[in-house]
This record gives sequence, structure tokens and C-alpha cells, in this order.
Amino acid sequence: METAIEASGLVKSFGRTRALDGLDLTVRAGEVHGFLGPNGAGKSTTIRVLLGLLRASAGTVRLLEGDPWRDAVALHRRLAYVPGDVNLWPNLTGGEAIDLFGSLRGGLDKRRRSALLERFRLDPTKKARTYSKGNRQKVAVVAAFASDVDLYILDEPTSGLDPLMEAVFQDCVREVTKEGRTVLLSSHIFSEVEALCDRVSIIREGRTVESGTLAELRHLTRTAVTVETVEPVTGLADLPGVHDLDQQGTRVTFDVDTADLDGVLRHLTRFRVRSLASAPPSLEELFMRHYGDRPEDAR
Amino acid sequence: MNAFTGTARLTRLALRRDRVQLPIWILGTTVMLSVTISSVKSQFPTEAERVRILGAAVDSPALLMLRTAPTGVGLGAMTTFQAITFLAVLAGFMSTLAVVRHTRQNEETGRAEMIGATVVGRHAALTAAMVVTAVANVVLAVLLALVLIGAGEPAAGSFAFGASVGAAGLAFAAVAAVAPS
Ligand SMILES: Nc1ncnc2c1ncn2[C@@H]1O[C@H](COP(=O)(O)OP(=O)(O)O)[C@@H](O)[C@H]1O
Ligand SMILES: [Mg+2]
Repeated sequence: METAIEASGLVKSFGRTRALDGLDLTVRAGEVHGFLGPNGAGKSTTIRVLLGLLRASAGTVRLLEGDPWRDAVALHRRLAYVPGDVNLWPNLTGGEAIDLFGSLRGGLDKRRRSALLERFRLDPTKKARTYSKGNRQKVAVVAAFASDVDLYILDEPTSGLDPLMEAVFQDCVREVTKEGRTVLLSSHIFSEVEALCDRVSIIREGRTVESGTLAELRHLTRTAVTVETVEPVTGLADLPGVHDLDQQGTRVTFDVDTADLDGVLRHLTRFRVRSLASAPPSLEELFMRHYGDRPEDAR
Repeated sequence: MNAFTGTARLTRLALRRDRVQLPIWILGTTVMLSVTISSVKSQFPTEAERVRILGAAVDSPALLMLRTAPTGVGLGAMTTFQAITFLAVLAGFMSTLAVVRHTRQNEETGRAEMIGATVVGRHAALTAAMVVTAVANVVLAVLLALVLIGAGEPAAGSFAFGASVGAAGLAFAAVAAVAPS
């Protein structure tokens, strides 16, 4: 199996809202695939289609070489799902909820379960009604990672987790991918995606706008450069890919399309570089270029 | 039977969640019946009083609409006239709430989605809700019959009484199951 998930041209409408509008998504087996987009972009809807909870009105979708709608029961033995807003049964304890999801999924690894409880510092004897949002997320995360499955589908799983627990979560993702399992991670936390993901798909209004490895996507971004030279730089504005040039004597700051970085650096060395600082392009900047806004506002 | 995979597990979950609520409903409804029996005995101890009160009732179509037609002046007939529609409505409430608790409430909170992503068939959740509600109505029917038998009524009629209340509960459950949210 080379591809874990292959969706193309997915369309899903709710009344007059077109939640998915020709969405494409390819997740290779064994990778961590980041699924990025502002709120309302269609991430959760896509995931519901992948889980066989919704049926797309058009398009094709294969998951673990099966049809998510027709083969739902068989496929669900091989995947674990964590939603972004976990709701539990108030009069069940966290441990009972974990065991319930485990048994509904066909069993879970007892040793892994207790190790995960320890790492996430979750008290499984408390009733779910006493849990905070973060603790409810932990219940679903522990239940998922304690399951022996091929594919993890995680829809903004770390909402409400503090930074320490976020780090534990990232370790868990790395561990399961070391064992060759596949992860689809929908997220709006750029640092999380940059830390974990091999490849990323960015969606907007139900369509995929970018897809590729982080390196490929970075190629589409701009790097911010500040350089001091011995002789004043000339001719920089005429080079391709240079933007927002600001020159003060021998000190120049500008943004450069990462794809044109090499040519610009060659040009600069002619003026004898004394110091150079560059801010690496972040996923966040790429995202902002697509949405023309800060992601917080876009959400 | 792919569509029903996981029904047993979800039924156990529903029973577990309802381990306080359903017994309270069932016992409460049963107690209502005992209370009615003793009040018939104490308020209308003689046949003359029973004939008088039934006569007044028969003259009021509004009252008859809310109850069944009276069938006699024995303890069983009087109790049935006084209580059966009321108990049927209680069974209906119990059943409607139980079905909603195990279907729509899960959908609204997103729990249905987490369950739906596990190894369960598409009909499992509704089937589990109906099984639990049916069990509750059967238990209720038997307890009601036992109360009537305990009051000296014939077994056949007592079970018919219990069964009709349980059947009313099931009818409400069926409506709740198919009603759009
Ligand atoms: N069940 C639904 N009924 C109506 N509209 C919906 C439903 N689910 C999602 N939508 C709409 O579809 C769009 C995509 O939503 P969603 O997939 O939840 O986005 P995301 O997870 O990326 O935030 C939004 O406009 C949302 O309002
Ligand atoms: Mg979402």
C-alpha cells in the first residue's frame, strides 16, 4: 500500500453552503500529513467523508484501499479518530470512556494505555463531568494512541492542551510514525505542523490550494533578509524575486522569494558581505499570503 | 449483518448510563399504580360510591377522552379507569426520553461521531436505544402486573394491564425513533 488516502474532486453541500468544492487530498502510507486551513475551510467535513460519516455528493475517495462509505465497519478496525471537541458521557469515568472506545474499536493495548495515562497525566478514575476541555481531549488522544491501528485521523486534536502536553502529543505522533503508521493531522497550529508533518495540504473554501512537502512549500514563501556590506549594494531592485527593498547606506533589508534566494546571494557577495541575517520562511507566512490576513483573523 | 455490528456493546453502554434513571422511572410508575389501588379502596369503599363516581364521569365527555371507558365497579376495573392512561403517558415519557438520550443527544454532542468512527454499523446506535427502551417497558409491564396480582386481581387481566402500558411506551419509543430532530 502506497497511498493511505486518495481523495479527488470531493464536493459536499449543506443546503446553500458548499463545504467542499472539488477538494483533492493524497496521503501517502507512513507519513504525517498536515491538513491546514482556517475555520470553515472544510477540514472537518473532509474528515467526516473519510470516516464514512458523510457521503460526498461528487468526487472519488479511497481510504486504506477501501471505500470509506461502503466499507466503513471494516476500515474502522484499522483507524483511530480524535475530534477537536471531545464530548464524553458525564457519568462515565475517563478510564471507562477510554475502554469503551477501545472495545468499540476492537481492543486496545493495556500497557500502552497505562503508559499514555501516565505521560498525559490523566486521572482515569474521575467522572468525565469533572474534566476540563483539555482532559476530555486527552481521553480521546489516549484511546487513539493505545489502539493498534494503521491510520490516525486527528482533527485539531490538541485544542485545549497546554504546551507540555502538546510536546507529549508530538512525541506520540513521532512514535507511531516510527512504527510505520500513517497520520492525517488537521491543525491550525503552525509550529505543530512544522514540527511533525512530512507533507502538507492547505485548503481554502473547500478546495486544496497548496500541497507538497514542507520544503516545497517553503520554496513558495519569502525569506526576510538583512545584510550589511562593505560597499553599498546596487542593482538589487532589478533582480527577480526581490520585494520591499529598504536601503540605508551599507545596510539593506528586503524580502526575497525563496526560489530566487540563490541569485540574490550571489549578487550580494560582490559587495563584500559583513553580516547577514535571514528569517526562515514559516508556514504561517505562506498561509497568510493565501488568506491575505493573519490566520487568527481568518479563522 | 454489518449494519448492526457493535449493537451489543452500545446496548451495554446505554444500560450503564441509565442504571439510575430507568429504575427510577419504572419504580415510580409502579408506585403510582399501588397508590391508585389503595386510593380506590379508601375513597370508594362501597359499590354505591363507585357507581356514583362512574356515573359522574360518564357524563363528562372531556374526562372520558382522557381516560378509557369504565368497564365495571370491581377493584381492577376501577383502578384501570383511574390510572391506565396516566401510567401509559408515564411509560411514554420514559421511553421518549430514553430514545432521545441514546440517539439525538449523542448526535448533538458529537459523541455519535466518535462512536461512528469505531467499528459499529450504521443501525447499531438506534437498535441499541430501542433494545434498552424495550427492556425497560417489559420490566415495567411485569412489575405492574405483579402489583395487580398482589392486590388480588386475576393474573390474565393483570398482565393485560401491564402489557398495554408497556405497549404504549413502545409506541412512543417508535415515534421518537423516527421523528425528525
Ligand atoms: N452539518 C452541517 N450543516 C451545515 N453546514 C455545515 C455542516 N457542517 C459544516 N458546515 C459548513 O461547511 C463549511 C466547512 O465546515 P468545516 O468542515 O467544519 O470546516 P473546518 O473544519 O475547516 O473549520 C462551513 O461553512 C460550515 O459552516
Ligand atoms: Mg473543524
